[in-house]
Amino acid sequence: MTGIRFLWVALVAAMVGWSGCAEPQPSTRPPQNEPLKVLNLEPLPEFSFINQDSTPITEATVAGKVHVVDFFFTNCPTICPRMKANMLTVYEEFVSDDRVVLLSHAIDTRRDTVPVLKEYSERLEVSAPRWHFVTGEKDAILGIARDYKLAANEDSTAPGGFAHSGALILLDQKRDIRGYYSGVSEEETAEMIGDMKKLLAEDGE
Amino acid sequence: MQFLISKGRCAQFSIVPTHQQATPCHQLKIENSPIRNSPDNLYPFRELSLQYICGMKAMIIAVAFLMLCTACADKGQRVQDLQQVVLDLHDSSMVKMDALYITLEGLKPLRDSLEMDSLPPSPELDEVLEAITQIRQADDEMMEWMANFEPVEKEAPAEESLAYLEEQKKSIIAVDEAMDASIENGNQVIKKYK
Repeated sequence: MTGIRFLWVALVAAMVGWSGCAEPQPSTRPPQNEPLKVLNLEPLPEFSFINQDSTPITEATVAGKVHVVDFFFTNCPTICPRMKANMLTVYEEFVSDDRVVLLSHAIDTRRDTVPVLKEYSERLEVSAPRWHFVTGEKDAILGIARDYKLAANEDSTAPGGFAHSGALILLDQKRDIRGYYSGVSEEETAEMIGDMKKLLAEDGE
Repeated sequence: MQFLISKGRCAQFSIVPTHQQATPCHQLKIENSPIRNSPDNLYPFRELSLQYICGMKAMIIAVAFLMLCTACADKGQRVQDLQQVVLDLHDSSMVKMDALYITLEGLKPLRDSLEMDSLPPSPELDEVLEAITQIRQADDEMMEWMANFEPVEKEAPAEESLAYLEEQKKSIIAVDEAMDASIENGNQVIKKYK
C-alpha cells in the first residue's frame, strides 16, 4: 500500500512540475506596458442610427470619446446574455466618465425596435448617453459590422465572424480600432477595461 | 443454521450466524428482546416474521423512493442535455449568419446592375431577386426562432419540457436547412451571373 501511495504522490508531483515548466501559450495581444496599435487600415465610414431614446446617433456622438462597439440580438439565448453581462461591467466601471461611450447595435432590426431597446436598457438599468442601443436599416447595421471587421489588419485579433462573433471592438477618440476582445470572456473584458484606461490616459498626456 | 437477532426494532435488525448447525426456524433466538426468555417458543418466530416483513416493507419503500429520485434526476438531466443540444444547434447555425449576409452582399450589386440593364424585368433579375428573398426569409426564420424560444424552467414538468425541446430541435434544424439552402442557391446565382 505504501508503495502504491508513493507512486501516486510521485505521479501527481511530476504532473504539477511538468505543467509548471510547460511553455506558456504565446499571447496574441501586446504586453500590458506597450501602447495599443491602430488596427484599421482605412478610416471607418460615417453612420446614422437611432438609439433607445429615439435620439439620432452618428459618428459625431462618439467623436473624441473612447468607445466600445458590439452587435447583438435582444432575443439571442446563448452568447448575448453573457456579452451583456460583461458590457455591464464596463458600463459600471465608466458610468460617471463622459469620455466613454458604449454602442450596441441590434441586428434583428425588425423585432429590436426603439421601444424594445428602451425596455431592454431599462431592464439592464443602464441609460444613454453612456450606453446607446442603436437600430436602423438592417443593411446599414450589417454594413457597419462588416466595416468594423474588414477594417482590421491581417495581424489583428479580429474575430472570425462579424454578425454573431461575440466580439467587443475598442475604438479610440479618433475612431481608430485599437482592440478586439471576446465579449463572452470575463478576462478579456477586464483586459479591455485596462486598455480603455490606457487610451484615456493617452488622451490626458 | 442458528442466528442471533441483535436488535428487535423494525428496519434496524441484523442477523448474525452463531454456529453452522441447522436449526428450525421456530428456534431462532432473539437477543435483547423482552420476550427472549418467554416460555412461549412460538412467539419468537411470529415476532421475527413481523419484524422481517416490517423491515422488508421499509426496504422496499426506501428502494422505491431511491428509484423515484434517480428517475427524476435522470429526467432532469435529459431535459438539460436536450436543451444544450438545441442551443448548440442554434449556435452552429448562427455561425452561418456571416455566410448568409456575405452572400446577400454579393447578390445586391447583381440586382442593381440587372435592374439598370433590363427593361422590362428579365428572368435573370427575377432569379437574383428570388435568391435575395430566400436569404432574407432564412434570416427572418432564425430571428423568429430566437424570439419564440423560451429556455425551459427547472421546475417545469420534465415530460412537457422534453416535448417542447424536441419540437424546438426540429424547428432549429429546419431553420438551419433553410439557411444552408439559401446560401447555396445565392452563391450559385452569383457564380452564374457574375
